[in-house]
Parts: sequence; structure tokens; C-alpha cells
Amino acid sequence: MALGSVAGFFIGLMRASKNKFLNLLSLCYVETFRNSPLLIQLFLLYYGLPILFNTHIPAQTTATIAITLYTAGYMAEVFKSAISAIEKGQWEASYSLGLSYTHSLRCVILPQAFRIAIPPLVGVFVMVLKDSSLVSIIGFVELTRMAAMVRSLTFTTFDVFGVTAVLYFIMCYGFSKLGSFLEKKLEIAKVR
Amino acid sequence: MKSKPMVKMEGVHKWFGKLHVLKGIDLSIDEGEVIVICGVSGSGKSTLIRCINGLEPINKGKITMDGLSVCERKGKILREVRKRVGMVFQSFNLFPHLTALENVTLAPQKVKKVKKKKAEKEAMVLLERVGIADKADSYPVSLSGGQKQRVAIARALAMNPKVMLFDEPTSALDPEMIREVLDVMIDLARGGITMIVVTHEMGFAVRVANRVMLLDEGIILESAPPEEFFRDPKQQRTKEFLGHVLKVDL
Repeated sequence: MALGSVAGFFIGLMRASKNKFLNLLSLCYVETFRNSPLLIQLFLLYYGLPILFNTHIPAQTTATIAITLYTAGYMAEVFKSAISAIEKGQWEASYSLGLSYTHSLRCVILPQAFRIAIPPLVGVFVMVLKDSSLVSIIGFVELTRMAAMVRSLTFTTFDVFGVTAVLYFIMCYGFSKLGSFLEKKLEIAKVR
Repeated sequence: MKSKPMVKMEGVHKWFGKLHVLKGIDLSIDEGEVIVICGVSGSGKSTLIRCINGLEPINKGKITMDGLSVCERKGKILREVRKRVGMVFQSFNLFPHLTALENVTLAPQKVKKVKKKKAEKEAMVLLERVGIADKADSYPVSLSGGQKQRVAIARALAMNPKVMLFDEPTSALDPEMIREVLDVMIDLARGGITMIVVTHEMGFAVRVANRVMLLDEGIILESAPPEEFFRDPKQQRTKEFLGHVLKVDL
């Protein structure tokens, strides 16, 4: 997920840039990964990649790649929206001072955009966290899969999946709380 | 001996889609001149000054600033132009995530590569000049409108510009704060910097302007020294405009 966030950030920058080529390229990427279910993406990658590269690819790698690409698609839109939300006057003020596009972005726009981006970023994180349970389909041992294994060993279906759900809930709720905490901390410099 | 003009616009036209906003602007401003541009809303005044530092591209004509061709719109030239032109906006446009001091030191550090200590020292001098040195470590959100605008002026001055552009600097301020900003601007004008000010504050024009221009429907209808402009306007539209705008406290 961390990888996906970083990748998403750069793709988001591409979406927000005025360069028509970059914009189109990143738009295709984003629409592809946001509009197809993670499950399908998982299957395609798990069965497709080994054929493409002609080697066996362990489930863990596939899962990582799939989640990265999936997350990045959503993160890109979040970053793009946050950047677009910053009022034009901020760009105009930076340019008027002689700041370049890069400096304006880095020193003026992005610090403000990041603050706006936190709530939706947390939302994506939580969403992907939940969706990650899907990778159990391709055999990757993660929480849901472990739960399924425990179930087949102990035959206590409801208990096992109940506990699993609680664990997911703790993680997701924890993330949301972290997000709120971050928001409060950064609230000193609110947009005027 | 007449020196080269600091800002020169020749036959400038600008369209916003189908709307013809600037219909052939010719003007020439010398170094040290203080020009006030007035006119009704929609006359094109903001657009005009925003063309001078390249914020708005023009469709036809030529604009030169300190010998540089603004209309060419090459990135490097535009940045050079903007290093020499400072701009103050109606809505301040301060950077909310930076303190007043940081707002002022950002550009000198990033653009002119001035070292932090030196930038801060010079910034404090400017903040003192505009009367808010005590608010250097405050964030814009805690400043009043008048204070914000004065920080904005200091921020623009930090780049040591040759020309200062003001786009209705007091229009968004409560009446009691207009005075403090105008005083700073009058002080600046008397210091000899070239200023182009779009404003309705005629008191300011009378005190320090070399020339007052009326922009009407995209052309400069009348341009004259303040005494002549206010006492003996030539055009009918000027008389109408003055009739609406002139305040008693002149």
C-alpha cells in the first residue's frame, strides 16, 4: 500500500500537470484501475504475468503488485483533486514572485494540498485494506486466508470469521482515527 | 533627455473567448512614475495590469518591461520579468501555511538563492517598514485584512522589484483598514518606485499619482495628471465616472 501511495502521488502529479501527454497517459491508467474490480485485476496479474515474463511469480509478489497498482489509481485522483482545489490565486501569487512551476508546486501548493488530501487518503487506505482480503483468493496467506484455514481446522466458522472481522475493524478504525489526529495536528495553518 | 520607458504597451488587444476586453491599449510609463488606473467594473483594468507581468497572455500587440518582451511568453523571460515586477492582489493571496516572515522570505530564498539569515534580516526590515514587525511569526489566518495586505506588500517588495502592480489593493478591506494600507502605498510612491495602481481611492491618486487614466470598455479614454483629470475632465464618460466615484473626503 505504501508503494501504491508513492506511485499514486506521482501519477496524481501527472494528472494535474498541464502537459497534455502526461495527462492523457495518467488518465488512462487511473480509469483502468479504478473502473475494474480488484478481483479481476488480481486474476489477470496472477495468471497473466507469469505468461508474460515466462517465469513463475510467487503469490506474494503478485499480491503486492496488484495492490500497488490498484491503490495508485485511487491515490492519483485524490492528489489531483487536492491540487486542483487550491485556489488559482496561490499559483498567481507564486508566479508573480518569480517562483518556477516546480518551486510553486513544492513550496506553496503541495503543503496545502496534502492537508486537504488527508481525509480522502484515509478513505482509500481503509478501502484497500478491506479489499486486500481478496488476495486470499490467489492463495496468499493473509488474514482472511488464515481465518479460513483456522476454520477448516476447528470448524468454528462464525467465531473465526467474527474475530477476523473485528481485527479488520480495529485496523480500519485505527487508520481513521490516525487520519483525524493528523488533520487536527495540521489544522494550525488552515486555508483562509 | 528622455530615458527608455519602464513599461510600454503597444496596440495590445485581448479577448476572453468572444469577449473583447482590451481593444488596443497604448501606454508608456517611465521609471519612477505613479500611475492610477480607474474605471467601472468590467472595463478591463485588472486584465490590463495582469498582462504586464504575464499572468494574462495577450492576443495582439507588444508589451515590454524594462526592455524585456513580456508578450513572448518564454518561460525564462517571463520569470525574469516577474523577478522585476511585484504584484499585490485584491484578495491578498498570502500563503496560509507559512508565517508572515516566511511568506516574505520564500521567494528571495528560492529564486534569488539568498541565504536564510540574510533573507530574514531583510524581511524584518520590510515588515518594519510596513508596520507589522511584531506579527512576523503570525500565520495569515490570525491577521486582519489590513495586516495581511501589508504583509503582501512586504512580500512583493522582498524581490526588489522595479515596478509594483496593485490590483484594487483596498477593495476587499473594511473602511478602517484602508487608511493603513494606503499610507504604506503613499510612502512607497514617495520613495520613487514605479507603481501602477488599479483603485477607486481617488485620495491616493490626488496625493501621489503622476497620471490618472480612465479605462472604459477596453480603451484608455482619458489620461492626465490628477489636477487636470479631476478638475477638468475632457470626456463625457470621465465626468460621469467621477460623478459616481468621487468621495467627500478628498
